Amino acid sequence: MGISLIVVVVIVTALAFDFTNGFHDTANAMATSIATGALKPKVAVLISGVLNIVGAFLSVEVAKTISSGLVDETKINPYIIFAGLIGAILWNLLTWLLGLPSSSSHALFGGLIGAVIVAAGAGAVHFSTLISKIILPAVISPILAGVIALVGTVIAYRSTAKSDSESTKRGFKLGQIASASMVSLAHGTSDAQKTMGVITLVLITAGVLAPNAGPPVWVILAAGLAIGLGTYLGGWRIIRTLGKRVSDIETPQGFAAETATTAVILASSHLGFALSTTQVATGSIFGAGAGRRIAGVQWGVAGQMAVAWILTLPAAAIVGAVAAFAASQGVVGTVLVAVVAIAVGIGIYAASRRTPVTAENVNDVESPVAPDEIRTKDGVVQA
Amino acid sequence: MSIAWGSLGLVAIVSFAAAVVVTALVSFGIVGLAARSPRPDGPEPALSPAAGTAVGATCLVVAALIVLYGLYIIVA
Repeated sequence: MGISLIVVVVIVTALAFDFTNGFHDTANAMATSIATGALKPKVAVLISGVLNIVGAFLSVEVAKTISSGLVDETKINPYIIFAGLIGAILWNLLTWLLGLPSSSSHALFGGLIGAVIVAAGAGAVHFSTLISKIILPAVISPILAGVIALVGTVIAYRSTAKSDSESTKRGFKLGQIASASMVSLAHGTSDAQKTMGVITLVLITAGVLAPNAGPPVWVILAAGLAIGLGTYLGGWRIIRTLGKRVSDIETPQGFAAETATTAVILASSHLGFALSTTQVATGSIFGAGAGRRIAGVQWGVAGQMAVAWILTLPAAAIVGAVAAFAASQGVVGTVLVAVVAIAVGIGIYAASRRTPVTAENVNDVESPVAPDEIRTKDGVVQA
Repeated sequence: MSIAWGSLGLVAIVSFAAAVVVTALVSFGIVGLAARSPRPDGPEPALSPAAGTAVGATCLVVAALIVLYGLYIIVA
């Protein structure tokens, strides 16, 4: 049996989602390293991209269920997966344009839920799983990560206060490079596997792979490369938001934030919670900012992000539902969805070119500074 | 609907302990290693160079072991 058109379309769409996942989430690992100058922007995204690819190969335990039991998987067909992916991609692109670090995982879950509701009815969605496995951890995990990062930041500053600041700064720079690398690795393992799971499931439903088969090497390679390439191209808009707009981050804070992120993600994925790397990393950065100076944190930015987080699941679900409805109308509908999605994607990219954020200008914004604080960075004293 | 409060609590405790311990160990390690080569215009180090090296190396090795365990969790 040959591979039908829809299977090819789903594979390409899944890799496209993986790509947006990569550049949307570069900031999680590297925003603070870039902001503090621990790593040069281009070097940071290169390290992160490579470690994402490595991470894709590290674990062979592929998520058995792409939706973590959120929807009745017997109702899933390639058209639903396609529609769900479209919803996730478009939401990822829109939040990237706005520079908002929203969860790629929630976008994927939302897209799938919307598509399933249209195709199989609301009964196919397990709402109690949605609350206990997704929504509750989504509320708790950023707060937990923030508290951990706050305590870590206080410890880092208190314990090194009496030491030579030149050597401690160098030490924390190295520590930050290590902790950021761990975040990248964990991200590659968890998020690249989601795409592998999607592609493998489609290949199984198409009869190309035997049921319960693991992902072929080319799927692992393709998923790893897609997320790695996306990471390397760097979502500079989101990197700027997390690295510069939240708070003026220094190396001990960056180190404490990334250590907190890694710990929360590893502990929770070990116990089966599908946490959003993005939300954990964002919570950590706010906590680390508050740990040094509560007034130096832009809580208004936190409000914007919270709104984006709440909207992510329903917004992706709506797009997924519309796409599922259109795609279920046959080949013409599927093609129409693909064409519209590509057009919107190009439109968002074009809109981003009007105010480009690149490796060169990512740090060129004023960090929030409390009114009474005197900055002596770069020898320039500002009131 | 069953919410796994036990697992959530465990995640909170384990990640809090791991992250705070690693951050503290690396901070102490940095303080220790900073005592090795005090600069003339820098502050007086809290430890002698030898003690600083010993404390710094021990702290960083233990932190590295915890990180390796984290890697092991990813792979396994």
